[in-house]
Formats: sequence, C-alpha cells, structure tokens
Amino acid sequence: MTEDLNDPWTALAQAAQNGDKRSYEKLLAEIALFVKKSIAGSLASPDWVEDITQEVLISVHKSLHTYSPDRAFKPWLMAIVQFRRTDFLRRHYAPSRQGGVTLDHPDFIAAHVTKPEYAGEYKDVERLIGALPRKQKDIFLKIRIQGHSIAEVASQMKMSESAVKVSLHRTLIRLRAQFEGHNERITP
Amino acid sequence: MMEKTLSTDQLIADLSTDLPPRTAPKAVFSAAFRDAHLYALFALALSAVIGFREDIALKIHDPRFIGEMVYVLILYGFSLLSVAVLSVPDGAGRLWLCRIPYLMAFLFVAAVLFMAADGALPLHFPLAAEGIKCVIGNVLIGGLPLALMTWRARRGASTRPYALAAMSALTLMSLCYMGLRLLCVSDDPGHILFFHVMPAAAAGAVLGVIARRIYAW
Repeated sequence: MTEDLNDPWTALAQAAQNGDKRSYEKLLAEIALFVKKSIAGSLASPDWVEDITQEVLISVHKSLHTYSPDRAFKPWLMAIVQFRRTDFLRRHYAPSRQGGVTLDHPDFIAAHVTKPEYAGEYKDVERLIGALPRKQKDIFLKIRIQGHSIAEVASQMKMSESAVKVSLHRTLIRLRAQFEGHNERITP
Repeated sequence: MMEKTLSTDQLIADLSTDLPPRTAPKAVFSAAFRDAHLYALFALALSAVIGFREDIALKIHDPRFIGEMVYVLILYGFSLLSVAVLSVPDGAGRLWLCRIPYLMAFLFVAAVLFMAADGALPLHFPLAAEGIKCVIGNVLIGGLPLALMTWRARRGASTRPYALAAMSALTLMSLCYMGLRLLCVSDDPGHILFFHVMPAAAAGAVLGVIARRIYAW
C-alpha cells in the first residue's frame, strides 16, 4: 500500500485538487494512455477505446473531489474505468436488444424511401438531438448550431465553463455512439 | 457517419484549462457518523412528538427488547457507513464493510424465521387496517433521512449504484424499524414484518430499480 501511495499519480492528483493546472493536465494525459492500454484488449473497436477513455477523463474530472490522497490513486481510477466501460457497453448493446430496424422494414421505408436524398439522415439527427435531456440539448444547440461561445452559454445558463464543456463533450460522445449504433442497425 | 470532432488531447486541454477549486475531501466516516446521529435523533424526536408506545417504561427494562434495538442500531450504523463508503468510486478502500449489514440482516431474518418455526414467535398475516398508522409512521420517520441520504450519495460518485441502493434500503429499514418499535405498541412479528419493515423495503426496491439513474454522475 505504501508503494501505491508513492505513485506519482497520487502526488499529481493531490496537486490537481489544490488547483495546479499543469499537474492536472499531466495527470489526465498519463491517465488517458493508461486507460487506453488497459481497455484496448477487451474492446472490439478502436473508436470505443477512444470514447471510453474520454468518458473516464470526464468522470475523473467530475469526481476528483471524492479522491482522498491518503489512499492509492490507481484503485480509485480503475473503479471508474470499469464502471464507465460497463456503462458504455450497456448503452451500446441496449438498443440492439430491443431489435433494430432493417432496410425492408415498413417503418424504414416510410421514413426514408419516399423522402428526398439525405432527408432521412437529417431526420435521424434531429430525432437523436430531440431525445437528449433538455439541458444537454440547449447547450449543444447554442454552441454547435447557433455559434455561441462556451463562456456565453455558461453565463446564460448559470453554469461553470467547465460544466458546459463536460456537458458538450458528453453530448457529442452520446450522439456519435447513438448515430453509429443506428447506422449499424439499418445496415442489411 | 458523424465526423469525429473530438480528440482526447483537446478534451484534456479543455478540462485542465479551467480547473475548478476542489475542497479537500472530508473523511468518509466522520461525515457518516454525523449523519447517523442526525437521522437517529430525528427519528427519536419524531417518536417523542408523536408519542412513545404506552408500555415504553416496561419495555426499556425488557432485555429482549433492548437487545433487539441494539442489534438493529448496529445494523443501522454499519449500513449507513456502507452508504458513505459506496458513494466513493473505490469504496474508500473499505468495501468489506458492506458485507456486515448483509450478514446482520440475514441473521436477523433467520432468527425471526427460526423462532417462528419453533413456535416462540406466532407469525400471522395481519389485517391492513391494523397498520395504516405504522405505514404513515414509516413515511414520516424515513422520508427525510432517505432524501438527505440520497442527496449526499448523489454528490459522491458511486461505481456500485445497486449496492448503494441496497445499503440505503437497509439503513432506511433499520431506522424505521427502531422508530416504529418506540411508537407502536404491537409486538406481533406479522404486524412488524408487514407494517414496519415492508414499506421501507418497498421504498428500497423502488430505489434499486432507479439506482442507475438516481446515482448517475
């Protein structure tokens, strides 16, 4: 245990808790490499590795206040990695358990075949955005569609800039995962 | 396919640009101890306001009643500590603690069933009308502590939401059990099971169903 407490990550995490941005950046960069290595062997797609790594980084950012420097850092991190990995796979496979829509499905034909080219895709994107939680949707639309800056949105929504960034990243990851899942399901 | 607009490097840069100030993490156990006292005092005060059972003066000299209350108090303490431990991603390195409330709850139920089978405790299904006050008592005693407990747990970052829900349920059940044993004059095990324990267990079951959502972070 003493060996774990001497881990440089413990010192970096402690410095990050004290507001040291450089230490925090270094910690996140090292964590990212470690997470990628530790999960790459058990996942089917390199994109998943990237997505889960980003989820883990966001989770570390959100839960840094729960880390106590008198405990080893790695078990704390690994608990988050396992949790986010399971969470990601659960989300990824959940829609396919409910049954996908195939190209010859009447719903798909009604929604796509009679529409102009690409109309179906736009509709899918709109539907996915529409299904987002309200706050996430507002942040996404304001920044990515209406072109507001993060600072403006943070001020408008009375949130910290950090929280807005985290929300935006999460939304993008979620949309990408859902859109990829959707494309896989409609592929004959 | 949507273009991959995010890179991990960009995310790291974003996250570390505006690092918010972090308060030093408080010791998990000291906060839990404080909460344990707070909820127990609330239950005790509420019982006093509503009115203790008529035979309370006799009961506090009954070793069996005292033993039962002490046992449930210990169960309550350990389950609340487990809630605190489970609110941290790595369980504060003390996940073994969570086995104690499970074991204690199992032994308690086993003891009741054993005594019932032996004839020492006559179990019967009570009438619904007998227990409405106790169900309301459950809500009064357990409602606020459950809300506070859940709020605190949500401020943490649990990687075991189902275990956290189970421990919250055990905390709630033990707290309501103690409070209602001080309020309700009935010593009938069937009444206690159906009207003192089951409502809190049902609330715990609901918590379990929505655990992943409610403890999401």
